[in-house]
Amino acid sequence: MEVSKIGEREAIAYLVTIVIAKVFLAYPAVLVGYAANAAWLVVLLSGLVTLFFINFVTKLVTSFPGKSFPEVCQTILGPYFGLVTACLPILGMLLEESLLLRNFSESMLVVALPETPLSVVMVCFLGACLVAVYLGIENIARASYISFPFTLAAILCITLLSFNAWKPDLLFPILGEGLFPILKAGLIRSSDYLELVNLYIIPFLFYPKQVKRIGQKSVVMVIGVFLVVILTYTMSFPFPVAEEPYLPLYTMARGVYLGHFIQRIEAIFVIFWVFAGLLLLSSGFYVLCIILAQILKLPDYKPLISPLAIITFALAFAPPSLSDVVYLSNYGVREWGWLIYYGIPIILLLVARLRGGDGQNESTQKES
Amino acid sequence: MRVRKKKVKAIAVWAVFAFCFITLTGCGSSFEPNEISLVQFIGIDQGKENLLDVSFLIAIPQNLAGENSKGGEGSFLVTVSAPTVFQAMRLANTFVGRRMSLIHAKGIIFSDLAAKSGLIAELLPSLLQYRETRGTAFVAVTEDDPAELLENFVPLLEANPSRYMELLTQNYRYTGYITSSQAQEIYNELKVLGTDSIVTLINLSSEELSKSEKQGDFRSGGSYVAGELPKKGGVEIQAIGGAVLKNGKMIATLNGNETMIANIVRGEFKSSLMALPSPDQKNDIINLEIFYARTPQISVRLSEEGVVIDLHLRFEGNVLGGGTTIDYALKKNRTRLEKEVARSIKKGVEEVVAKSQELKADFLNFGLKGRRLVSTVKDWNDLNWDNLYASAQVNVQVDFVVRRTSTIFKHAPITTDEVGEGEE
Repeated sequence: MEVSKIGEREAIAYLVTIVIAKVFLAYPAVLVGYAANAAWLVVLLSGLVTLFFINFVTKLVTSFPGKSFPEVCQTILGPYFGLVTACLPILGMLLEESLLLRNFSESMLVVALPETPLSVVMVCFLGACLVAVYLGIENIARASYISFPFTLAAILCITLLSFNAWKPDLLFPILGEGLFPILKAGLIRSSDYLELVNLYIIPFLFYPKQVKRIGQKSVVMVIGVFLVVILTYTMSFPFPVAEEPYLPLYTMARGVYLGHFIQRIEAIFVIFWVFAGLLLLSSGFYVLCIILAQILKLPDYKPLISPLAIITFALAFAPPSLSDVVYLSNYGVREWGWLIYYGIPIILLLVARLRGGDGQNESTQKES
Repeated sequence: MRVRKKKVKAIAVWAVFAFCFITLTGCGSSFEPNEISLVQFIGIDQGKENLLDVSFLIAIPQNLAGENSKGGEGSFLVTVSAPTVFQAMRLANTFVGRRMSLIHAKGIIFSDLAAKSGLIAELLPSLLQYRETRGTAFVAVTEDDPAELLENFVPLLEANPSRYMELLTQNYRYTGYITSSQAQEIYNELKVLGTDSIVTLINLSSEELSKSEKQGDFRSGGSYVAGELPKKGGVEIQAIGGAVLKNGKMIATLNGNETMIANIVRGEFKSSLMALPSPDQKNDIINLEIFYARTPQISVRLSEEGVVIDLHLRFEGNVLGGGTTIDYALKKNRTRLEKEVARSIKKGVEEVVAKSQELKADFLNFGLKGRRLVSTVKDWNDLNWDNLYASAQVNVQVDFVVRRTSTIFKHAPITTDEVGEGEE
C-alpha cells in the first residue's frame, strides 16, 4: 500500500474541507441549541480546546515516524491492548459514516429531490464515494485542494450575501444560555474538529515535520470559517428560530434577496454542498478501509471497499427518521467522540512515556 | 493479464457511461414547467364552509411571455374552502389540471378577520416549513375579501402580477409608507421577545375623488390608511400603512406616516419625500427629500423608575422647493427649516411611541436593544420586557441638516407689484 505524501497546502485544504463540510448540515443549528446566541463563543472555545489536543496528536505522529496507527498502538500497548485500541476508532467511524451518508442523502431529499426514493440517492452518493476511495486518499486530498477555494467562496457568498438580514442586536444577551453551558459546549463540541485526527490515523499521508503546522493552521482556518458562519447565522436568525432548520446554511441561502436578479442562489449552494459532502464521506470511508486493512495486515485495502460499503449502506437505514439521524450524529456520537479520538493519542503518549521513552528512541535501539 | 485488465476497465467505463445516460436524464422529483401551476399569491380568509377560504392567484405562463401581453390576462383566481392551506392546494387540483406549486409564491395575504383571530401565527410557521414556500415572500393584511383583492391585482405596466407586487412591496424603500414585511421576518418576530410585527396593509380602492367644490386643507400624504386614499385610475388597490401584530394577532392599524416613523426607528428607512408647511409662510408647503445621516442611535438603560430609552435620530435632506419664495439655501432660513423639520419628525415619533406603549406592542423593536441590559437568555425572559416597555420613558432627539437644495443654488423671488427683479 504505497501512498505518496501530500504537501502542507494540500493537507490543510484536505483537512479543512472535511471539517467544514458539516456547516452544510445541521451544525450551526446544533451549536445554537447549546448556547443560544452565544454559539460563536462555543466555536472559539472548542477551537482552543482542539488546538490543545492537536499538540498531543502531533507529538504522537512525530514520535513514531513511519509507523501506521495500528503499529503505533501495538508498539506502545502490546499486541492485544494495541489491537483493541486501534479498533476503537473503527466503530465510531462506521457509525459516523452511516449517519453522514443518510444525513446527506436525506438532506438532498429535503432540498431538491423530495420524491426520489432515499435508496436511489444513497446509492448515487455511495457509488461516487466508492470510486473516490478506490482511487485513493491522494486523489481525495487533491480533489479537496482543487475544490477548496470554491467551497470557501460558496460559504462566504451565502453568509455575506445575507447581510440584509443581519441584526447585530440578536447576538445579545451576550452569554446566551449562560457561562456554564458555553464552557461545557466548548469542551464537548471540540468533537466538531474530529476529522483532524486523520493526522494520526493516516500519518503516512503527511510529512512528519509538517504535521504540527498542518494541525495548527487547519484549526485556525476552521475556527475562522465556523465563526463567519455562526456569527452571520445568529445575526440573521434569532436563536429560537436558529435552532429549527435541518439545513441552516440552505435556509440562509434561500433568504438571500438582493433585488430581482440576485435571489434563489441556493441552486449554486447545492453543488458545493454535495461536493464537500462527497469528499467528507470518501475520506471517512477510506480511513475506515485503511485502518481495517492495517489491523488485518492486508496488503491492500481495496478488497474491503465493497463489504464495508454494504455494511455502511445497511447501517444507514437503521435510524427511523431524519430527526433521529440528526440527533444521533450531532448529540449521540459527537458528544462523546472527543473523549475517544483525542483521548487515544494522550493515553498512547502517556503509556509510552511511562514505559520509558518515545518511539524514536525505541526504533533507534532496535536499529542498534 | 494486462489485456484482460484493460478489457475490464473498458467495460467498467462503458457501464458508468450507460448508468449516467439512463439515470441522469431526470429524477423522480422533476416536473416539466407545463405540468405545474405556479401560484403567485395566496389569500387566506376565515372559512364559511370549512375552516379557511383559501384563494390562489395562478399564473398563466403563455400569457406572461413577450412584450405584447396585457395586464389581467396573466393569471386566474381560484378559491377553495378547506381546513388547511395544503389541503386547499390539493383540493384545487381537483379542477386545476396542473399540479399546484408554491415555488413562485410572492405573497400571502390574510383578511383582517383572520389576522385578528391569530391565523397568521397559526399558519405562517407551517407555510414556511413547507419546502416550496420562501421566507422572502411578503405577508400582508387586507380589510377586504382577499379573493376580491387578488382579483384586482391587474397590473397595467407589467403583464405579470407577481412582478407588479414585487415592485409595489419594495416601494417602502422610497415611500416609507409600508414595511418590507417578509414572511421570515414576521416569523422571527413571532418567536422573539421584545419585537412585534408590522405587516403591510393592502385594501381595495374606492376609485373616487371628493366632489366638493371647496379647496381642501393641507393633509400630510402619509396620513392615509390603505383604502382611504382619494385616488382614481391605475390598479384598483392601495398599499399604504400597516397592521400591528401582537402575539400573532392583529391589534391595530397604522397609517402611512406612522408606518414611516416605525421604519425610521427600526432602522429600515431608506428615503422619503416629506411635505410640511413652510416655517415662515404657513400657507406655503415645502417639499424635502429626507435620508438617514446615521442609523438610529438607541440606548436602553434601567433606572429606579423603570426603563429609559434614549433615541437619537439624525437626518439629512434635500430641499425640493414648494409654494414658498423663501430661499432656504441661505443659512438663516435654512436653520429655521431644519429646526421645523426636526420638530415635526420628533412630534411624529413621540406620537407613535405613545401609541405603541398604549398597545403594549413594541413594534418599534426597542426590545432588540433592550437585550443588552442582561447577560443571559434566562435574565431576558425574567425581565418581562413587554410590561417594562409599556411604562418606559422614551427620550427622543432629532437632528436634521439640509445638505442640498436640489439643482438650485439661489432662489430668486417671483416678481410682483411690490417685488422687482432680483429684489428680496
